[in-house]
Amino acid sequence: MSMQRRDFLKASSAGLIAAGLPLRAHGAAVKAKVVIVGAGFGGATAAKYIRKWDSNIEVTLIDREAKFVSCPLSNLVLAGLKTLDDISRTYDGLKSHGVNVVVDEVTAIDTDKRVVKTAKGSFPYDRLIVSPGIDFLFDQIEGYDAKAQETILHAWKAGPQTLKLRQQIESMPDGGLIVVGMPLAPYRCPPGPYERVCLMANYLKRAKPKSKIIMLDANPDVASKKPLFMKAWNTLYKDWVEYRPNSKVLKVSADKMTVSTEFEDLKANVINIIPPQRAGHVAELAGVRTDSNGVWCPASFVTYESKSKPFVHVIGDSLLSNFPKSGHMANNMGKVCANAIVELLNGREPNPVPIVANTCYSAVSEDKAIHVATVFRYDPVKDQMTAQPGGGISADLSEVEAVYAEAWAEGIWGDVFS
Amino acid sequence: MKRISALLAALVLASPILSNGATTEPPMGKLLYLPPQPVNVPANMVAVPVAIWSNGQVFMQWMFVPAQALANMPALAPPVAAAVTAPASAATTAVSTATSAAAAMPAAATAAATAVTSAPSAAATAAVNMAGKLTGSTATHARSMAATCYSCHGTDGKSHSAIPPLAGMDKSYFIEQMKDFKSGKREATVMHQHAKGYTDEEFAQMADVFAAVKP
Repeated sequence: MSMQRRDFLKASSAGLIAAGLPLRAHGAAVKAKVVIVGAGFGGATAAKYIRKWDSNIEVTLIDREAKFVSCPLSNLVLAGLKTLDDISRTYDGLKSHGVNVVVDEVTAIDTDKRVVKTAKGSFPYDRLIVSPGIDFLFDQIEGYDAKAQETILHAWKAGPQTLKLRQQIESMPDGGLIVVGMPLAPYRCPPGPYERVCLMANYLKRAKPKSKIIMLDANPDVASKKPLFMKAWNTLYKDWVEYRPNSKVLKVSADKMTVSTEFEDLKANVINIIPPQRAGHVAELAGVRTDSNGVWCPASFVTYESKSKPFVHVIGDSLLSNFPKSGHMANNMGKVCANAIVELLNGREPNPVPIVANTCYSAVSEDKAIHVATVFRYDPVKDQMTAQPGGGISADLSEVEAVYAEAWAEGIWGDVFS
Repeated sequence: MKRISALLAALVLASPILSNGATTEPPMGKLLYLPPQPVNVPANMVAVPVAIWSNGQVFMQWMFVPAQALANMPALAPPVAAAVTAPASAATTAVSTATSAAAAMPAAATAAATAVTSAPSAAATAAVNMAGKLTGSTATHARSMAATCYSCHGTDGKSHSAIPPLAGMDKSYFIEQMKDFKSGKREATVMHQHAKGYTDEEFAQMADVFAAVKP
């Protein structure tokens, strides 16, 4: 254990003054400081669980947004079946666990001096967790510049774009065409684009039955829950959805409202492009976006410590792994990472064989849902997370799973933020 | 730097027992957790418990070694091989009086210790004592595993939705349900898929965590 006691004690007292944090009223002295950047499913979970498992570790959670808007269930907002408020949560619950929540933009990370700098302050750390989610590679699609991005939305980070895309669909005339383009895997939320098409079609079927959706998938086939989505399209949305594999979006024009692939140019009323992605900007600031393409972040599956920067841990969608990039996985990684950091900061060996699990529901209509579930176990011999036998998808589209999907969301939002 | 050896494993397991055979609070508790035995052992390979020495700490891990190589290590081959190739029978029954959390870990520990000490009964006693109280990595593995359930079942298993709570659930009931999900005896939408990802020993460890929560 290479923890330097003197260093972190020094850092702790300096931090208290610099950040103007309240001194602890009672209990043992602060043992160490953890700073977490990104208050989504990964970062917020890690913050809560570090405090839960060792309340003498001081935790600062930094995010530029003042509240959380859930990507899971946000496709229901597009279909008019939920509001943005339904899927938003505050950080008040985390504050009640003693998490110091800072709403600010991170501007720099000094991994030698172990300090995170924001527009308004400076936060020293003994261990840093970055959970920045994804950034979009707009420049991989011709014409998808800043101006085009005002009209051609991704809505792949829930929030204002979700509402704006909903408005675009609502104001489209009956008989209109929506084109949805999605990137090659890996991308955030493997089943998400297909769920989106189901729920957009669900809305069209109810409100604009002469309209249609064309889905342009860069992948050679439906990349997640294939038989179930195919069944939804073939039974519930036969007249509304046209699915085209191997159809990578190469070019868009916001002025002409066109989308081009290698094979065709489509003119649409609403264009929704989910661009290719990479680990969020904060991962670059921390110097951990270091896979061979500079896109994702390699890290240990035991501690989630970056393979390139000591004392920096990476969780969530930014990680280079065979995991589906889901909120549920980020939540599970947050716990394993929290567990490991608590052990490390107490001079103990972290759990050498962590297990994480994924449960991912997709709504396919207003009252039916499906899921995929997988348990991953660390294999120390191969140094990889191995999907355990027995995982899989739903037997069918079902009403009962729609109830569980809703309960899942309540459960995980509570687990992360309450 | 990491130094890995099966011999070291045996020594680490055995040494506190040799030096302080009467201890009821094993001093090496947190060092001794042996993860569940791997299920998919490649052909002609044997899973061997090893100690990994890293920055002054020791933890236990399974390593696959060619069966032939093991056979060439006369001091270790018979007991270790017995522990890992026949877990369901001889090795496990050796500590059958221990709690189920004990089943995965001290069985191999006992056998490995036996390899270098002539005091198997002391080793077995220590192993059983250790199993009674989860310490170190065992406890954090259980804590971490149980936390995978919280995503749907609520923090500490306190659910506030259509998904059933686990907080305060009777230990044997929890284990039985998980085994039934795993075997397919109890039907489910999703739990049969999750249950297959954990060992029966891990069900018992998680059961302990939930049984200890006040609902």
